[in-house]
Amino acid sequence: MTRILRSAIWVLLFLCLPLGSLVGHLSCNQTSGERASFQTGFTGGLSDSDTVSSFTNSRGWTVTLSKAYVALGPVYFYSSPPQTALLERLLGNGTARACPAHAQFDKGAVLGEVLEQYAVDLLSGEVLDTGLRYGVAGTARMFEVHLHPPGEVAPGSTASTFEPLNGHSIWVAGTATKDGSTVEFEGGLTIPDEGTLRIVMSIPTELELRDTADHPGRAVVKVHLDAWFYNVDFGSLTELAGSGRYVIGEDTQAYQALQVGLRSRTSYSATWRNP
Amino acid sequence: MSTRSNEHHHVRWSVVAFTLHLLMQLAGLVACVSEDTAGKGNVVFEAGGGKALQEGFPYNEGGAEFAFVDGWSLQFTKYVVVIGDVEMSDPASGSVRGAFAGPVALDLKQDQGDTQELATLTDLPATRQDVAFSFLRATPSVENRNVEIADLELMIQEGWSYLVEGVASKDGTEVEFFFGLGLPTRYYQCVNGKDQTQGVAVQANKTIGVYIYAHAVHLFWDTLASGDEDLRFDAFAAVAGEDGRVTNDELALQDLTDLRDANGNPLRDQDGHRVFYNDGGMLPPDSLTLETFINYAARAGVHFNGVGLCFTERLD
Repeated sequence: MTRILRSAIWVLLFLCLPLGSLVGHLSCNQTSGERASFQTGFTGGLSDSDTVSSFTNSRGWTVTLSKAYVALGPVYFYSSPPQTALLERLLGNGTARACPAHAQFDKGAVLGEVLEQYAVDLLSGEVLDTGLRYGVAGTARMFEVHLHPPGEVAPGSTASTFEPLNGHSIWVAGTATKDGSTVEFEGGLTIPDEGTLRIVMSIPTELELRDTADHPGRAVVKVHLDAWFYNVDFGSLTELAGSGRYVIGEDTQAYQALQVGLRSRTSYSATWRNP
Repeated sequence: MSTRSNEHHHVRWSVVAFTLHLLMQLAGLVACVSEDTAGKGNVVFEAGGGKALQEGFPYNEGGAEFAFVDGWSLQFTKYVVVIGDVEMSDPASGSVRGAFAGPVALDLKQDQGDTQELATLTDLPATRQDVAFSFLRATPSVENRNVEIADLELMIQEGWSYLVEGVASKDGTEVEFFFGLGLPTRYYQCVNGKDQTQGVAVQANKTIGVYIYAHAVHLFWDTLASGDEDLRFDAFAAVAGEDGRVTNDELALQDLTDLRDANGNPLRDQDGHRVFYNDGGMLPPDSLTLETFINYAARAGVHFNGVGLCFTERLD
């Protein structure tokens, strides 16, 4: 009986080896990974520093911020490389306007996500806890952030934390100096709800997402405030508010440049931070 | 059952299993040699720029009108591209089955902007093949098919892959444009725009045609991302020189963080809002100009056999 069983096992082995190889080959492109839960957080800083000090931008202005808030979220972490590495692949309907309007970028599997919107004080020097999230273990190669005004996405933080935003997606205030002149500024910005303008997509990262139980720490998304202001010319501000500060008016270069900065992939990073 | 009988039975099972295994391996071998028995076929590669190149703006295609939202009409007069390193390869092994090195300089606007023959690859295995090709900087070794000599010399001097010329008009005003783009790029593992498969199925004893699509409409869309694209020319016209022409130098003057009209005022759309070009967050923050924008747009605007998209790799 034992030998019969052994013979049967031999048969199965001979049959299954090539079949297994075939199945393995067919399935090799599928995303695999174990379920994992990990802590997440949002914070502010500069491109090369986790604390916000004064910085000088490309237009020669030295900027010192006194307020910097953002309504941030959802955030998604994806398994595929960012779009800069591969062009959008067409899954569209073959209409004349199929490119780029209907082209879909293959983002790969969603490994992790923060679905709610949080009000983040980017000058606090701390990481805002956005909770334990359930996803898939693996390396996120890109992520995307959504920048909607408060109330358009389910909130993750209390209503009062959104008040400093004054209804906008971001609210900033501070002082900018250049060649002896000083501009005190304050204002908010809401990105128009057109197409995908409110989503900063395909931000490169190499973020290893593993279960927090085995890998203490958390996935942290950082806003680079110097990148937001990289091209802002504060000399374009002309409208004074009642507070005596210059308003970042929608018609100014400062507003346009800030909007470009908000949408730049250089303005965000995601890393794993140990406790 | 006796021990001897059991052993005999075991040997018999082993022989059966071994035979089955051999048969399966043989089946695999048959699959491997099928490429040699599938026959041979040919593929003619052509290149074209689409209906925008043929008819100018506005035009209709697929039931949609392609028109500038800011009221301009536009005609191309030249659309020169340099294409080379065309390859067809086995999708599994990557082995090259046919190639045409070129490079060739083609003015896609000539012959009414229809597709023009680039090369014919012959005696290809009649199986599915991956497709790859490159847009390259012009060099003295480029084969000139139909390009004005002075233009090609300028492209070689400047290291351009594209030379684009045309005229736009609105309310009695004409603005000429003449610019070059240096975008050496490898396009590979292309999706076939006709059937959405990867590559092309070569057919035995037949010659099939495929084409590389330098989709000219991309140059004037106001977004590099997906969704809500509009065709605009105001930002180009605003920086025209005193000679009424827009060249690379002028395009580099149009700052995407502060788009201005010809009078130096903020550039506004038909609703009075400031015009905003959506770069998808991709452009380098230290190079936010209209010239950089159309470089990215043109690189992303090359397709295969319709609007089939390819993986891309910058070659410099």
